[in-house]
Amino acid sequence: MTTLRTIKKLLLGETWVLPAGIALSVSCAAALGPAGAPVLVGGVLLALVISVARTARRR
Amino acid sequence: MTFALVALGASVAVAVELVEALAIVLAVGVSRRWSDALIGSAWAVAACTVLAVVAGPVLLASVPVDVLRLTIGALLLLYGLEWLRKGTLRLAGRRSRSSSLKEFAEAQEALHDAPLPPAGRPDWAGRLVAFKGVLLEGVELVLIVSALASRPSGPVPALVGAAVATVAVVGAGAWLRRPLSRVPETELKWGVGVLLSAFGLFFAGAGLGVHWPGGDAAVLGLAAALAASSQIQAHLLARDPRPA
Repeated sequence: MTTLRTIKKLLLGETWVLPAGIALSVSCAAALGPAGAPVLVGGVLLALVISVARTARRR
Repeated sequence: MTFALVALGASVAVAVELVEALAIVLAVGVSRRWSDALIGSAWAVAACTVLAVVAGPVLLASVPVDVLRLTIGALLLLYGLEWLRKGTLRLAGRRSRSSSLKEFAEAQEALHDAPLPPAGRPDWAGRLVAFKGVLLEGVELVLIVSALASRPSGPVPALVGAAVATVAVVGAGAWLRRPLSRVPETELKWGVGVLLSAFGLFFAGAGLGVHWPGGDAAVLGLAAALAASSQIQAHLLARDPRPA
């Protein structure tokens, strides 16, 4: 169990917000094609801000 | 310009990971025996070498260019944003600052209760602590360098950056024989987070067929946006009173 947790932390990090945010941003940008840059950048920045805010609230 | 940025990103990422691994090896060497610390580390280096030899060429040979760009981008984003998240929290004072001295103390603590076997007999506890420490830091290092080296324009900048950092950190560790306590790890890790995330965004976008204004120079704009967002949030959090 500890090994699995270590591997998960190594690959996905400490929070699910970032992998989920990246997946969502990439999917939305893929749907928009060449015009997807703002959505990709905005989505990733939003995921970063939310993940920081969630952790900060718990500390 | 991209060459310099990739080399810089790879070298700082490798240096930070190596300093952490070095702290653990030094802790085992100082508190137990140098031979067992080096044997445990050598096993981990061998395991990481096998991973590096398999990961890089397999990625390059078997994956179409756009899928490769998207995969590299997603991988760099996963690592970069995680480093940036932690860096933002550290700059805001909401997480303890990163320090190889802490790794050093934790490794010594882990070995505190294990008796040291007599000379001539292997110290399995010391070897295992050195092996685990170097392996965990090494796997992260291999994945980051493999991702940067698998860029369609070639592996040279990432490998040059990684080699320079390896020589510098291992040389400094061998010379000082103690953790590199004056390295500003928090700021370095934050900077690596910005660079890796910027490259991750750029490559993921390129893999999706997104048009980046300014071509390669867009990486600088992405880095600036990520750095500004992180600094503003760290500043706001630092001013906010902590929740009860």
